[in-house]
Amino acid sequence: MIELSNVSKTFNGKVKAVDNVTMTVKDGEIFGFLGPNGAGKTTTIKIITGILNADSGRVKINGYDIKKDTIQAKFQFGFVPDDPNMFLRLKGIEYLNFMADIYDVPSDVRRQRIEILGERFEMTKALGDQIQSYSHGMRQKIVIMGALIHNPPVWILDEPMTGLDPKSSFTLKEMMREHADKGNTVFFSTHVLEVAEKICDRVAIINKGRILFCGNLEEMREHFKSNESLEKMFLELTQNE
Amino acid sequence: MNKKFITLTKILLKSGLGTQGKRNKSGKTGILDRKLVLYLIIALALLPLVASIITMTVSIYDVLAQIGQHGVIISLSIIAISFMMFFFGIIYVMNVFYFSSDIERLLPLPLKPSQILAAKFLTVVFYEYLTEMIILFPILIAYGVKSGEGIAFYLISLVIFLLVPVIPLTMASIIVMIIMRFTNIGRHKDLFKVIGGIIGIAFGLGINIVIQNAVNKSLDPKALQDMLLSGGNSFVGIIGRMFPGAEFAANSLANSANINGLVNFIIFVAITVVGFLIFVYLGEMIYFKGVIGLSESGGSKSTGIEDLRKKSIRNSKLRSYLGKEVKLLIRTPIYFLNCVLTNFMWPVIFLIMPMAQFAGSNDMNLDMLRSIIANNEHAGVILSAAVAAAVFIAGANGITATCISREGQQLYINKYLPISYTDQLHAKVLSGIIFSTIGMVGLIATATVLLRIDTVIVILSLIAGFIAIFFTSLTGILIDLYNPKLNWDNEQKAVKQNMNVVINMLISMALGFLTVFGIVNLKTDLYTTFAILVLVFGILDVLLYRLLDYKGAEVFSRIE
Repeated sequence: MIELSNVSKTFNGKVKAVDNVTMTVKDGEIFGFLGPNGAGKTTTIKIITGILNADSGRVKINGYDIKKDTIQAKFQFGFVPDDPNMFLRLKGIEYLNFMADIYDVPSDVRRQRIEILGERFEMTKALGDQIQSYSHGMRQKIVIMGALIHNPPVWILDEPMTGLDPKSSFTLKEMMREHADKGNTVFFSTHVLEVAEKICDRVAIINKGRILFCGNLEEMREHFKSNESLEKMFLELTQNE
Repeated sequence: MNKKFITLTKILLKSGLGTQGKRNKSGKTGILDRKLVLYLIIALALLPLVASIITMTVSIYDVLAQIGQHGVIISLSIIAISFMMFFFGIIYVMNVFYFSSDIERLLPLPLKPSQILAAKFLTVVFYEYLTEMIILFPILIAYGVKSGEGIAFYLISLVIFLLVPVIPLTMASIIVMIIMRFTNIGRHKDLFKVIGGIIGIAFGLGINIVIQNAVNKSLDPKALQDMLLSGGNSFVGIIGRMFPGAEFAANSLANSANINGLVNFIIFVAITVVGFLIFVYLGEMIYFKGVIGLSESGGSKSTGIEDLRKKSIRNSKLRSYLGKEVKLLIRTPIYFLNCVLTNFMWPVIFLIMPMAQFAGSNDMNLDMLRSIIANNEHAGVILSAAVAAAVFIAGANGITATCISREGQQLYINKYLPISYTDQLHAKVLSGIIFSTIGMVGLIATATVLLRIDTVIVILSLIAGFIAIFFTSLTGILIDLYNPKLNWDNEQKAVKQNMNVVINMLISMALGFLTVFGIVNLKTDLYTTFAILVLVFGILDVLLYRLLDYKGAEVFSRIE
């Protein structure tokens, strides 16, 4: 479960990137975080994951406050950032082991997970190579594998489908569903409405740092019809890709 | 073909050798101005070198003119510059022909391999002119003025100036093309950059020793004559024969006043043209085969499940994080050359090079130095010097002084991982201490062998030095924590153009100086010196360590 209460963040004293956001992502659901480019999605995610400090407000992950019980809170989630270009000079397997060490994963458990994840994403053969030799999609996959290596209850994924081929994208969606069905939390951002419509149980729509809507898909469609500004947003989101 | 070739050459020259195309995208005018200033600074910095080349040429000319052998200057300088161009040409050509980022944009265009090659070749030649301007140009002018040559000399000089790079570069290019066609070295771009860097540094140090020796000897006309004239049969002669055109070029200049010079000149031009044609012909055949697919991800050695299992063993967080730091330092060419390799260079710079100079002079020799060092009275000072060296090594490698900066835009990753900031900082300090210690051990070991230092002093130096290394490692990370340079698009900027390294190096130099200065004035014996150094550095270490633990994590968490 992820709980945000009255979270705000201002850059350079002027630009309100996140404006008094309150929302709860419940256990057992896939939660889509929707908004056009520059709406405040990534900033919000950075605040949730402890990369940025909020000016005010509180974030709790499975009950742990990201500011107070930092390390405990960080153990609760696996995070896939929007930029998969990291640790390029480590080999795939070295990166996975690094992540497993940081997340305290025992040897036998990590071996099993590396095998399963490697197979599902068809990455096993590439794990001996340095990440810099990977294509964009492969980098995305290795980052996802690293984020899931400790089998975290909460998944936080920033634009996870970008660069994935249809098959891997399908695999990831399938895994998201499985994970949520086991009573865990999946929180992911996207600027593509279609993706959200297909797999989300609930969505929040953010623009200019403010949450414009939060609810299930049924409610969202209703909302779009009755609210003009949301309708414009809807067009933006559908025309984006 | 010609039109395309000329257009391509122009574009390649404009985009700065084609190796840095990406950087030129942003803010054109601003960068241009800064570049101009940069070039001016470089030109100013090179003036003393040019001046010393001119004075050296003049003094050598005077000595050799006495026996009518002044023509040797021309042949020597042409051979030397050909060798230099060939040597660096291999690295240059590899980068420009194969590793530059514009290759992927050129390959899809309807160009023949020879057109791309010739254009790229010409850009390299143009850049070699800059080297020539600094080295060959002053020599030719100084020589011409000294011997009162006529207009023919200068005309021939001009053409030779323009053509000299061609033969060494075609040779370098042909070698590189064959290597790239038939080996898979191209897949190890990083390794190649490291090797190239090491060769460059070695060459630089070598040249330094040679010039020092030459300067020593130029004070003695007889020795200089012997050295230059015997050269004809030795090393220089062999290198001279390596470049088929060099001899003819030199002859044509030495005999510019008569028909013999003209004949030699024509032969030189002919050899140059033929060499270039062979290069183009060969390139047409093998260039594309070597360059296509170079940037493909090599699904080279598919790793088996068994192998993956063996590699998957749990380590402590600290050890794993330290391992990551060390791997990135070693595997990133620029970090390796600046932060790791420097640790191994100090024995050469502090000991072997000065010794080579001692060997050349009569005032001071190795035995005298050894007896000074063997004197018990100096034991304390020697210990303090070793500790000062350790302090300096840890400051000069810049590992801790760039450990936050090197994270760059990826710093955020450290923020979401469940490992405390304090642990991360400890691992980073440790990575610096490890490499600095290796550097210190190398330096002290070399000194022990060369200068026959007493075993007790060696052991005490290692202990006190190790404690001292903590100090500069800690100042480094504190400096970088408070003022990290995170906004870079090129690793070079994180380590080479980072003031934090300079600041920490200055601190380490000042502290090293203070250490030796203090001990020299205190005149303490070995054990007292040891006690003082351990105590002082020990206390400083503890204070800095407490500061890092107390403030470090907080400062780190505030970096956004």
